[in-house]
Amino acid sequence: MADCGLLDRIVMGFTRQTITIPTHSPRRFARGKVIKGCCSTPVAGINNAVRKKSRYGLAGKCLVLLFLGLVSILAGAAPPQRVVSLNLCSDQLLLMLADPEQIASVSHLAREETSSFVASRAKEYPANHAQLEEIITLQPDLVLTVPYTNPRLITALQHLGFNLYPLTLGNHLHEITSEIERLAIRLGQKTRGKAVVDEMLQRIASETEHSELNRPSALFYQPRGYTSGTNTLQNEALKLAGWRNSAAENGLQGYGQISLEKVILSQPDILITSAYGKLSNSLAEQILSHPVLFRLMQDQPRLEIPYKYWICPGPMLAEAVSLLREAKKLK
Amino acid sequence: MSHLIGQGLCFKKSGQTILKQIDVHIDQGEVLGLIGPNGAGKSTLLRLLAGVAEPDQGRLTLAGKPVSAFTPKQRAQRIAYLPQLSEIAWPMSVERLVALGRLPHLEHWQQPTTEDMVLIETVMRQTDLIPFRHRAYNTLSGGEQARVQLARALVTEADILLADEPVSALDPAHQLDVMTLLSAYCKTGHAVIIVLHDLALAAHFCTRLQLLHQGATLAEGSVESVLSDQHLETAYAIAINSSDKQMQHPFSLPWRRIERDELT
Amino acid sequence: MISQKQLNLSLGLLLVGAMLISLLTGSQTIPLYQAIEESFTGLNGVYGIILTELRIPRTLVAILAGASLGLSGAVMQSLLRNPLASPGLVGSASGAALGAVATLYFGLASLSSLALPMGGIAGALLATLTAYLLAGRDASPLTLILAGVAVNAFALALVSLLLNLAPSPYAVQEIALWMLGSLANISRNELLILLPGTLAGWLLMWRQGHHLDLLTLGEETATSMGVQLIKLRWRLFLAIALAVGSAISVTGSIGFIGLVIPHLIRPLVGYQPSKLLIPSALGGALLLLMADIGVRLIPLTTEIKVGVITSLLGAPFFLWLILNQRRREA
Repeated sequence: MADCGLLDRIVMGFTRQTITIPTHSPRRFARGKVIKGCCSTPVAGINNAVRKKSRYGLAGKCLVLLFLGLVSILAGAAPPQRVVSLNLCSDQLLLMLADPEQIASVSHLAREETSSFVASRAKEYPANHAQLEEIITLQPDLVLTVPYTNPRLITALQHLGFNLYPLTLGNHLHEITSEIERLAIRLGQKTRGKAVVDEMLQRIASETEHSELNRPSALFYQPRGYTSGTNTLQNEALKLAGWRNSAAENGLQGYGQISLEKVILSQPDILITSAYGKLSNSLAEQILSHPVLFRLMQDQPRLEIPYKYWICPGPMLAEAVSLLREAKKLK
Repeated sequence: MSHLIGQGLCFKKSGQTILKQIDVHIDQGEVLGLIGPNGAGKSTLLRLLAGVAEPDQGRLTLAGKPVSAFTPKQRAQRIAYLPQLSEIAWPMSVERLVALGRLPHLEHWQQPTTEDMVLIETVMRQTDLIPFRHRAYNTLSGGEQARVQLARALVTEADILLADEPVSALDPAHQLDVMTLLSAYCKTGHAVIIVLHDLALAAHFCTRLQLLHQGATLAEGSVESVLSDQHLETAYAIAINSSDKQMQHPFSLPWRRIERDELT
Repeated sequence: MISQKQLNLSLGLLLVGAMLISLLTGSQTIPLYQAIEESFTGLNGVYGIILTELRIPRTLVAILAGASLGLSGAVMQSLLRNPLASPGLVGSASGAALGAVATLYFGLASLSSLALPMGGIAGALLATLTAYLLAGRDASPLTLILAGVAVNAFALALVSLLLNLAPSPYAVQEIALWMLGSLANISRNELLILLPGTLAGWLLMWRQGHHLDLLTLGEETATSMGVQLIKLRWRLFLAIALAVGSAISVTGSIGFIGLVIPHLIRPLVGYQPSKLLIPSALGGALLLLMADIGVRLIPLTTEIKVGVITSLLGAPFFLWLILNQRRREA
């Protein structure tokens, strides 16, 4: 597909979207140059037909577009062959679900051991830094984004007609599994997607305790006194593993700071830290070794769960639940 | 035996020789007047005696012992110094400032005792400071401030008081007061070395004079011998008009203090 | 006009009152009586833990640091015979922060528990000496302030630089803690490492009251009355570096206390330097403790820095100074 003109890719992209008359600038159609025989997709022929038929006026054009849309849907769109992922969370899922040939590039973040579960595999693919020029050069037919990808980048990509797939980052199990399945379908890997989800659910099911009684309480305690309340991955993992989340019980939503006095009064049964890399020297990190915490927890060892489990939703949640379940058994 | 002796004192500053081999001595009961033109080295000599500066050469003996045998505090108890110009840092009341003069006699935790307070009271009366006792120092006139400084020096009851032009800023009445006071101070077993420019005052109140000229002693001894016309002409490069010569304008010499109620 | 004794007594009583309020203030309400009971019985009651591990250390550090700052300000102003001098003005505060930052973020603090305050002390000493040498022996107030401005600017720039170079990812954002000061999450450890330098500093300042009084009369007169000027300066600069350096290495640089407190109290003690020392210490402790109580009472999730409150007091104070000055000149 490399020798196709930009115009053709745009038109092809356009025909795969829902059947709406594009509001893009009509300049594209006015470019005029006839490109013969460069594209190998079935749509190419229709492409040329569209241009030829333009002599027949606006009504004629609309009819052809409608027809193209229907054909698209009926024929079943082919799975993307050049997927570019801009973010760690989409990288990990992409590497888990797609065939190696489908992947055009993953973000540079996927290569970092401290935060990525797919670091070694990610090194086999070109790395991108979510820069517009990079992405265009890679010529993707699908670009995976996340909610906090630079909005201007997203708008630019949309204007240029690239296919975007915005990944939803859920904090609840059902959200995570449905998103995995949805992405798998989009990548044309429905079976693999289902397999990943099944494995994940199986693992969690074997560990999950549904009983609400006699749950010990846990508290995440991070540098600067940050903790995780409701609607976080940490909270979900704790719930599934049979713990109570002290921070959530204190009314915290999302991530936030908790004062030491509140920590003491909550009297959690376990403190969990998730250090990002090695602990270095700073006032923020010093709070983790505050004497009052040792006094409170007596000699109970703190549970350490690597931070990478909490960066992105995905199958790694099951592993986190296992770790938490193990800790619970010791209680 | 003299109480304070300086022998062969030399002092240089920025390469310039200020004092050349000066000898000076003072004994109980004496009022030694240091006179001489500006730049003769009078203030510097006083500073050496007070311990504010170190002589490049020479010896200082106090009560028979070298001055170095005394701790700074002991020295401060025996020698009081009143410099010419003094910048007072804080707007303290007159009473408090004068009381500072007793500090060389107090231990670090001590407050002035009743005896101290009585002495302070007496000195303030003698220097006519009672009406100003609670006034802030910086609200006083130049003359009043000079009296406060003197009171502070007197209150130390040091054996020797070194005063650098203490009366220059004062009006004639107060000048007479201060000089009378200093004379009385000496009669009670103390000594005073005073730098003066007013030759008439020097003649009236000093028991001995030392005339300095260009860092050396030009004349030293009784008032009559030092205040000869020849010495004064050499030192000051001025012609002296002694009292028996003709005068073209009135000559007024302040002589004695009278109380205001004597006038009526 | 109240006497020295009355002044010290009133300040002392106010301080005790503030201490009680401080023990009762925190992000959670705890029953004080029960907390005290629990601390004494040695059981691990949560109220007792909060009291002994969090509130008491915090209160004591506030008192010690505030006293050091007030006392050092009084000493500095009396020594330099300048009512605008303060540990902050001539650079001791930012120097101490620099020394502490250099020690903490680069792992030196872990070598010994006293390494951090020693870093602060060294930094404070270096900064004061630099400012003093820059300004010269007989510096006018203007020259001294300018020298202090230069040293402060340089030290602050270095603090920023070091925080950027530090290995920890959290370092850069902590500059606010060092520049504005904070007593949040103070523990027993901070209290213990603060003590040696603070007490050593106070000890060196003790018994120097009379010398400072004599300096009022001018340097020459003071020398003639037994004050050894060079010795006195070195001793007091070292004392200030010890006390202020230790305090700031733990709390960060808290401004205005060393300037405002001696200034306000001086007229109440008849402008006499020796009588200024103890009330300034008490006043400084009181001010810092009350500012810290204020910080804890303001209902924000992130505690604001205590230096913000002292600065909010300091700015109007300067305004009042200016207005006073204008009125006096008019």
